[in-house]
Amino acid sequence: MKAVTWHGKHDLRVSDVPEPGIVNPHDAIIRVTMTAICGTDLHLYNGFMPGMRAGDIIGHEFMGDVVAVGKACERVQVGDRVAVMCAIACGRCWFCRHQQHVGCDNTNPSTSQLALELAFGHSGAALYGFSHLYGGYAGGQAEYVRVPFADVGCLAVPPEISDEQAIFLGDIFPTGFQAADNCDIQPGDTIAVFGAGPVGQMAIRSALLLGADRVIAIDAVPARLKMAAEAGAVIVDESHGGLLSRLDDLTGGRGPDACIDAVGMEAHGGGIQNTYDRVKQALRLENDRPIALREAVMACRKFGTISVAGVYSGFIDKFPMGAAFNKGLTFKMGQTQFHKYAPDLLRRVQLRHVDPSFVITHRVSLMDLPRAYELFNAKADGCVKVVARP
Amino acid sequence: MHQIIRSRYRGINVPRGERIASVVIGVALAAMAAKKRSMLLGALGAVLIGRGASGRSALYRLRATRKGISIHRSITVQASPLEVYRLWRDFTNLPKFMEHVTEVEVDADGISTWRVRERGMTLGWRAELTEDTPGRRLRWRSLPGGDVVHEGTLDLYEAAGGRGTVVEVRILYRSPAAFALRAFPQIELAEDLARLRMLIETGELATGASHPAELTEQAYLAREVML
Repeated sequence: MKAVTWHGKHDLRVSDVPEPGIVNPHDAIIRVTMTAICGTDLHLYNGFMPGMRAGDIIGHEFMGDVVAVGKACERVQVGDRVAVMCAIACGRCWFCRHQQHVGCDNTNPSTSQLALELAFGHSGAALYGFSHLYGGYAGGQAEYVRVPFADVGCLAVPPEISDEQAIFLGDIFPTGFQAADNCDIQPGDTIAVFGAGPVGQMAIRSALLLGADRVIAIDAVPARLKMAAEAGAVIVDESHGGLLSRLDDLTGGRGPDACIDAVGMEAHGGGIQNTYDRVKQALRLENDRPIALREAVMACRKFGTISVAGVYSGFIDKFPMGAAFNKGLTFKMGQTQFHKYAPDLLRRVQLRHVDPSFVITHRVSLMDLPRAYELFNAKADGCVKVVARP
Repeated sequence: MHQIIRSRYRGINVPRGERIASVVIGVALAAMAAKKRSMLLGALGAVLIGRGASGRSALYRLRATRKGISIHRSITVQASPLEVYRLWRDFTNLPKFMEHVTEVEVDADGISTWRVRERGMTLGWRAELTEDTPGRRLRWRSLPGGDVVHEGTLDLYEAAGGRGTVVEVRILYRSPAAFALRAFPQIELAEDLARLRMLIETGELATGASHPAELTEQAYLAREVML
């Protein structure tokens, strides 16, 4: 079968690889009908992710039809059309039983568990196509994928929902929704979303769904700002500078009630701060560039909430802890509880409260995905979100 | 299997890299000794070469047998103490989650015979239970004459707030071989217990393999037996 394989920084290829088979009793095999490039895939593309090996199949946003099931599968059946959660969860450990599936104890092989423990203190769930640090599972930018614990990770998609509406249920839609949910939105709240990429776009719409009075979208890419404006957000082009005073102006000097960091470790701020972080990153003195996070802390109103959806992987520097402490900010963050949010979000799509396919700007074939990565990474050609059909 | 195992690796306690370094430095010292006609340098070189070639260090043996190497690890699993006890007490289950244990046999008087494959070497020992409290504790120690001299404890108790069962393992290695053969015993124990939890909670071992042919023999064994 054809699959997108990683061979190094900025080196992705479409390769012929063997089709996967049932390995463990709770596995299913999915024939992929649609896959997508996630912003997180850019960490692999740009060579920031340790534990990658040449030839690894990447991609964790995918959906498709079940073509085979292991002997222990009880719910998922051959022929089902499913969206697949991008984190692999067993459904049986303490964390899965408490709706904290991305903390799953049992899906990372023991070696990955120990490596993650070394990095983060404790290990969590495995991810598809996301390095051997996260289990070394083959990804979904392929014609077929092995899906472990399929009963837990597959969400059945009813026929009236299209692939384009369903594919984001396993990753960016719940991620944006959790980012908004973590803001504990109250009537009258203004929510600032730093970064209007795909996750930011989902967060903007989710915040409005959850009753935010106003959403401010901050980015520098015209196509993204246009999309945010279409959702009803007030847009702030951060390339014009003076972000903090503009956020104060928009909120009567109070600051946004909550700030969502939908950027993460690869922020592209301007000026001296950006140069500082880039130099330190290049020298391996700091591995994340937390520009958006620093600004969010400074901008947020007193006793407000900072909700972090963008990914961080290591250490950050010059974090304004004094501001966070003196303003009494609440921090909420983390990988998304996909399994917890996805069924509710599917219902919202069915009820036509939201159509997540709005974010798609580019539709390509699997063969064209390496080229689409370049486009997406450069944010060129108005590219916000790429989906592909095998 | 009933006689005491004595392998040719018995007593090796110098890690491989250190053995090579010992020989290299030993040869250099010997060459220097020949040039300077120094008996002392020559003797030191000979000791280092012998240590590297044989892989046995008297100094390390003294350190290991005196102090021992102690490791411990605890994890929490979603099962009752008795369920964990039953799985563990049937020692023939242990190769399913202990990566280096290839075979355990138990004879009529309760003495178990262990075979471990470590870095290409097959080692063995026999062990006896010194305490057996169902659902609570197992203690064991190796019998004299095996390749790895050690004693261990498995403690099981209910976690606070009904959060499952705490599984706690403590092992004290007194074997001179411990330095060389289980260079990372703490990591191996941690990985073994992670796999124990997988088996107990899910009935399978996590693997990134895309095809059954890629599975290790152990993972395949576990897959076939546990269901």
